[in-house]
Amino acid sequence: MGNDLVFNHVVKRFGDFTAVHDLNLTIQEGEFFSFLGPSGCGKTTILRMVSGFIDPSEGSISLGGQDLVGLGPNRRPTALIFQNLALFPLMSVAENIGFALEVRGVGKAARLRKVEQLLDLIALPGFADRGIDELSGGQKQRVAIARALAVEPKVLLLDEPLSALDLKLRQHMRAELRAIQKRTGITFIYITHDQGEALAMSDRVAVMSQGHVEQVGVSSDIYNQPETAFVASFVGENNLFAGRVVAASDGVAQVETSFGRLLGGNPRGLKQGDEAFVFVRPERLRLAPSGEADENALTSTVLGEVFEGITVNISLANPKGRPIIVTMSNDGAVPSFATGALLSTYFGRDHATVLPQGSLARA
Amino acid sequence: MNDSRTLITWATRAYLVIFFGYMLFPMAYMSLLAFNTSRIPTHRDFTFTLEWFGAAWEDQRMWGGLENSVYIALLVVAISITLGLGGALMLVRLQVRAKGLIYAILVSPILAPGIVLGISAFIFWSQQLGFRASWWTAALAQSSFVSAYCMLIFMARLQRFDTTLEEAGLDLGANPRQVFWRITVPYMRPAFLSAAALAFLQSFENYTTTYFSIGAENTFTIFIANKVRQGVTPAVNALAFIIIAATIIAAVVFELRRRRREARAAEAARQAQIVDIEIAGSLRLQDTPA
Amino acid sequence: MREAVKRFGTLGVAFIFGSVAVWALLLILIPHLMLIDYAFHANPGAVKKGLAEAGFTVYSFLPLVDTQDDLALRTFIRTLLTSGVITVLALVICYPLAYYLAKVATNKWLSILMLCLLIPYWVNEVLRAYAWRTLMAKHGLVNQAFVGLGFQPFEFFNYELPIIDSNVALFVGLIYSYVLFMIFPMFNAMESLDKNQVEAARDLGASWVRVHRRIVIPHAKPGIASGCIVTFMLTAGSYIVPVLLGGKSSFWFTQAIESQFSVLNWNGGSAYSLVLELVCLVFVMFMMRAFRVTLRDITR
Repeated sequence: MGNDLVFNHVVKRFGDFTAVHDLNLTIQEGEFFSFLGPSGCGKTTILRMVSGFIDPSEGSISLGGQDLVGLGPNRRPTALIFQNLALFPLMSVAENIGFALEVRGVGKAARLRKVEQLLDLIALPGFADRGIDELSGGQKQRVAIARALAVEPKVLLLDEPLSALDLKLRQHMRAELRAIQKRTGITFIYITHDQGEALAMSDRVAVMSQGHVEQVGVSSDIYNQPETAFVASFVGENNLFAGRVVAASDGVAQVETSFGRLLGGNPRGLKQGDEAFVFVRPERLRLAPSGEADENALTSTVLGEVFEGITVNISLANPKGRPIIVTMSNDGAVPSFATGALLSTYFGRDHATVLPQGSLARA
Repeated sequence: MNDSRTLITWATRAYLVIFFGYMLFPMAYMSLLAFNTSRIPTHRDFTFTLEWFGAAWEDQRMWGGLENSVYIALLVVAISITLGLGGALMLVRLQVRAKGLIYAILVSPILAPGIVLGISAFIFWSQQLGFRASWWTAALAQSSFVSAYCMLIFMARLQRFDTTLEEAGLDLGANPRQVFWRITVPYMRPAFLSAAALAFLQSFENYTTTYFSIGAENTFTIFIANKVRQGVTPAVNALAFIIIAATIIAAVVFELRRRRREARAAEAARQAQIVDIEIAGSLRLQDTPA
Repeated sequence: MREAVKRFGTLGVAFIFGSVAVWALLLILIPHLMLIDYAFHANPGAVKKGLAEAGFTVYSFLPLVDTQDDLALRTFIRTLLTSGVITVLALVICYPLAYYLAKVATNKWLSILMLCLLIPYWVNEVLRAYAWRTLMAKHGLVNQAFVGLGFQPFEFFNYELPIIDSNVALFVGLIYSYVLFMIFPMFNAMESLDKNQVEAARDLGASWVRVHRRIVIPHAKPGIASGCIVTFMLTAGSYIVPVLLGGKSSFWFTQAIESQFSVLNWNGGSAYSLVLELVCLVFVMFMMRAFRVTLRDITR
């Protein structure tokens, strides 16, 4: 319990537009929690409600039992790291980090001690007198984190702070953020549209779409056991086959699609006659010599292949023009396929998920 | 093809020479006459002297006018920066109704003839309210349009202001007053400086608005105009030379400082970039999450 | 408004509203209402003599439509015509220069030429007019050159130009004094034009004339409108340049206003001022309409 952050029936409306629908969620103390979703899904609104720049239209947000609604951003035990970092360009590194202490009337000596301590934490000792313009992108990230940590917030909110960095540096900073979170033990709430970032760093992820939380879970569950069509299609690559359930039993559904009848897991308990999507990850498809597989066999024409380095993606299409992607690990045994050749692939029913169309149609 | 290129190039050069000759020659000629001994400003019988600088220096009315000019300019700077900032904050940062109308009213003095500003201020303060027209009524008359210039400078800077900086300040626990003084005002500092400089110069060299609102008093510019009207000695040329020389020196110094600052900033940014390149370059593949 | 108080505090919001109120009311609106009030009353002298009513009257405007004594009317027309011609001339003179500075000149030349423009720009109009007064004096440098070339000395201060009815000295001095106010707005507007657009148009086969008509001018429209407005307004409202260069016959409308004040006829002076301001207002509106730009484009 301690300092858990609890959303209780939180709704946020802007005029006629509802940005967040009935959010119920508990983020545990010390957790690295991510909200993942496309832009406009409501994740930034949640962040701004927690930090206090806006108040929810309905419901309550509480931290460790204390209701936060109505408290201004300067009165909350939360700190926000802005997407553009919002470092004060005319102050030195030390002034930036010490700002929160300065406005609280902390003396200069105590302030400098704290700044030194934080500079050590972010591995930038001796940077106190640098100007913000003299920092690299990665160093700015770290200073922004230190500035937010100066007041020892209970919750640190991060609004896609890595989006401005190059790919490689971003990957480096992920590890660093995670390490800082582990060291300080503070609850991190991370907002991103980058699934790689969310899955790699977080203890738990909430996938959002159009103001709804679609699924909350650990990264592997989000990826391997999507609960909605939106999650299945938004997180990672997926082959999607639309159709209608013709039979369902023992957690397995049989769906009539343009590729014929396909079998897959039925976590949502769909019934005969329901509209459904069958999702199969490209890396779960296997090549089969033509006509050998007994179920879930897809015969289609090779359109081309794309060499990605670690993997090879083969794109195929069935006679009706529906595409399939097969991803093969570049283990030295990937055969070469001639464009136009007929190729049979298959997948085990445990590797496919049958989900209702609803949430994706809404997206 | 090549011929017409050359023709255009030469036509451009000729045009530039004629235009800048037209712009600069009168200034150079006016300056030159300050150094001739002749009692009237002319280049004839040129014999070099500095006596006109001494004559200008000793003119008590010049010093009186200069003193008034400085008082007026300082008051105008104070008023215009205050009012200009208020106007800019309202128009850029507040959600108020009739923004277009307020904007039109506040910038209208820029688009009105200076003589009308001077006369309306004179009629209001002196004729209607009964104050004696003097240096401060002139300052009020000038402030009506100088404030608008200051406001435009502030607006331009405020529009580029990243409001997340203020949000960050609030989020870190500062109250609105602290945010304003520690974040917004320092960000506006360059705008304050250029607005103050512009206000001072606009006020200092203004003739028409001042002349019609100052009553019987003098400013430096009015002093020069009176001198010219009453028949001049090259002492006026000496003052003109000083003004021109000061303008050139100020402009050159400003430009050099700007270039040095830019070069320093570019170098610092380059150094910082190298750090990131090193970090990224030393990444090993296993750091890459799936 | 609650949002604003949250951001700036109560004191901050009070400052903002207070300063705008003081500025708009005390420095702009009330003085103007006073001016209008004065303009629509006759001066006390005329009322005492029974020439005009004591209340609301257009008496103070009458000299402007007097066909018997048309001095004021002729002055008014001369002022407007000359200002209009000067505005057009300044536009023609400055357009190539603004384009050259904004899109052709190298950085080094740009800073040198800008400095050359700043010198006469920051020297005030009194000295600008004074410089030409010396140059065009009867035995001044220009006439000396004329004589040296075998011409007669020229009476710059007495020779009136046809139609616009202003003397040559005044005309040259006014162009010299206000031409710079045309350059800077145009330069600023043209500077933001992406040079690739010009090159793309050239690449697609457009002639230079067409490039300017279809790309540069539409882009620089706010700057052109702004330059024209400022130049016209400064020229028509100029006082000291006509005083120093106008000679005997080229009386300027601002001098007509001044002469009303010099006989302590505040009402007459106010009426003339109001007319001058109205002309400027109409000109601004006309330019906004003609160039389809807003006030914000112009004052940028």
